Amino acid sequence: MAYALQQLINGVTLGMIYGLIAVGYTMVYGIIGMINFAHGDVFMIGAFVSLVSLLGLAALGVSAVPLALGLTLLGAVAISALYGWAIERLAYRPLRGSFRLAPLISAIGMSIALENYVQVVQGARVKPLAPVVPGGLTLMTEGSFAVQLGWMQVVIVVVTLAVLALFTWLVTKTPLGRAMRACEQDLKMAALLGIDTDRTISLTFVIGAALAAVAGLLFLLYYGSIDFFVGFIAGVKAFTAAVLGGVGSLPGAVLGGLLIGLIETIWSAYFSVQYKDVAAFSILAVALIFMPTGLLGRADVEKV
Amino acid sequence: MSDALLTLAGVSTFYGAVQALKSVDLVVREGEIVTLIGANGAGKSTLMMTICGNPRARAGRITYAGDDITALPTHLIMRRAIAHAPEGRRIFPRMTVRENLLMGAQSAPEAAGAFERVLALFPRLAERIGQRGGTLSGGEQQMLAIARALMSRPRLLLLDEPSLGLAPMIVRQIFAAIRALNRDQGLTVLLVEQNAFQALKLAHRGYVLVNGAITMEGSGMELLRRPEVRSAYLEGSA
Ligand SMILES: Nc1ncnc2c1ncn2[C@@H]1O[C@H](COP(=O)(O)OP(=O)(O)OP(=O)(O)O)[C@@H](O)[C@H]1O
Ligand SMILES: [Mg+2]
Repeated sequence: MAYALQQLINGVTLGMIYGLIAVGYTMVYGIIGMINFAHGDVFMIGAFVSLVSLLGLAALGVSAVPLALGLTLLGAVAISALYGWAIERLAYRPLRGSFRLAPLISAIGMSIALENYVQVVQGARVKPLAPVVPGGLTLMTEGSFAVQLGWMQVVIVVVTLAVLALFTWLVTKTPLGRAMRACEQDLKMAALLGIDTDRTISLTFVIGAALAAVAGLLFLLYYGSIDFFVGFIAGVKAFTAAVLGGVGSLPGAVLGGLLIGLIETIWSAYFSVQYKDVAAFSILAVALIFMPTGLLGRADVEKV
Repeated sequence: MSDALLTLAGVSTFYGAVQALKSVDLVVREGEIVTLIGANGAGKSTLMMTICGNPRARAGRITYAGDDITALPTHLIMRRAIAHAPEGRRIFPRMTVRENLLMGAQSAPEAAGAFERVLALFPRLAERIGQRGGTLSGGEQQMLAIARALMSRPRLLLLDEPSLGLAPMIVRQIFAAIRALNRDQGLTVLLVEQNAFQALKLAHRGYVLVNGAITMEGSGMELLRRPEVRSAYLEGSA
C-alpha cells in the first residue's frame, strides 16, 4: 500500500513534467499545425542553461536559494526563448507554404543539430547537480518503508497546473490567443484581418520555448542530472503525451502526460523497468486505434 | 466629383508564369459603389486580392488615400480601414460567431459599437452567437463573412460575391444594407458580383473585366444598356 502510494506520487510528478513539455508541443501545433520536433531539444537547452547558471551563481557566492532560482529561471527562459525564435526563423519560416513534410524534416534536422551542438560544447557525460530544493513530507510509514512527498514534487505539480490554467486562458480568452487560433485555421484570412501573422507565429515559438525552459529547470532540479540526450527522450514522451491527450488540446497535453508518467512508473515498479517505454507506446497505439483524435482531441464536425 | 480613394494604375499580377491581370487601370472614388463584372476566371478575385497585397502586383501602382500601398505587407494594408470579405467566405470554422466577429475588429481599435450595429444588420447571427462558424449553414456563413468585414468600420469595403448561396430575400437585404451604409456613412464599396443585373443597378459605376483586362467602364445604368454587357452577363436576368 505504502509502496503503491509512493509510485503514484512519483508517477504523477513525472507525468506533470511530460505534460509541461507537451503543452509546448501542442501550443505550436495549435497555431501552425506542425509538430515542432526540436521542442524537446529546447527543453534540453533550458536545462543546460539552468545548470550553468546555478553552478555559476554558486561560484559567485549567491547562496540564497530563491534568488538563485529566480535568476536562473529568468536566464533560462530568456535564452531558450531566443532559441525558439531563431529556430522558427531559420528552419520553419523559409519553408512555410511548401509541402507538408518539409518543415517536419527541417525540425528533425534542427533537433539533431542542437543535440550535437550541446554534446560538443558541454561534453557527452552526464552532468550532476547537488539537490537545490531538498526535503519534503513523510506522508506515512509502513514497516521500514516511508512514503515521501518531496517539495520539488509539489513544485512541479503546482507549476504545471498553473501553466495549464494560464495558457488555457491565454489561448481561449485573449486577443493574442484568438489571433493564434486564427493563424492556425486560415493564415491568409488572418492577414486579411490585419493580423501580423509572422509576428504571431514567432511569438508562439517564443512562448513555447519559454515553457520548455521552465520544464528544463524543473527537470534538472528534480532529477539532479542531465545530458545532451534528455531532450530527445523527454521530447518523444511529451510528444506521445500530446498525441494521446489529443494534439492541439492544452488540458489534453497534461492529461496525456499524466497517463504516460503513471503507466511508466507503475510498469517499472511492478513489471520491468526495461519495458516501460514499450508499455507507454503500446497504450498510445491502442488508444489511438479507438480514439484517433486522442482523449480530448477535437472531433472535426465541420461543413466544408 | 470627389477624390479618388483607391487607384490602380497599370497593375499586372501573375501566378507563376501565368498572367492573371493585364495592366489594369481602375479608380474608386470616396463614397462610391463600384462593381466589377466578368466571366468565371476573368480575374475579379485576383484583382481584389492584389489590392490586399496577396498576390502582390508585379507591375503597376496601387494608391490608397494618397499613399502608395503597392509594396506594403497585407496586414498593414488592411489596418488602413480596408476590409475584404473574400471569395469562399473563409470564416474561422473552429471559432464561435462572436469570436469570428471579434477577429474582424481585432486590428481596428476604433471599432467600438460595431458589434451591436452588425448584429442589428444580421439578426440571424445574434441568434447563433455562441455557435461554431464551421457548423453554420452556407448562407449564415456568408452573412458572418460580411458582418466580420464590417466589424472594423472600414472606409473601403471589398466584397467578393456576397450573394453567393443566399436566398433572394437575404440578397435583397444585403444589397439594401450596402446601399444604406454607403448613403448614411459614406462607406466606399468595391463589389464583385455574379448577379450583374443587381450589382449594376446598385453601383454608381462599373468595370467589365475580360481575361484579366478591363474592356469597359461606365455608370451602372450605362453598362446595363450596353448590348455587349446584356448578352454576356445579363442573359436571362430580369
Ligand atoms: N492561386 C492560383 N494559382 C494559379 N492560378 C490561379 C490562382 N488563383 C487564380 N488563378 C487563375 O487566375 C485566373 C483568374 O482567377 P480569379 O479567381 O481571379 O477569377 P474570377 O474572375 O474571380 O472568377 P470567378 O468568377 O470564377 O470567381 C483564373 O484563370 C485562375 O485559374
Ligand atoms: Mg472569383
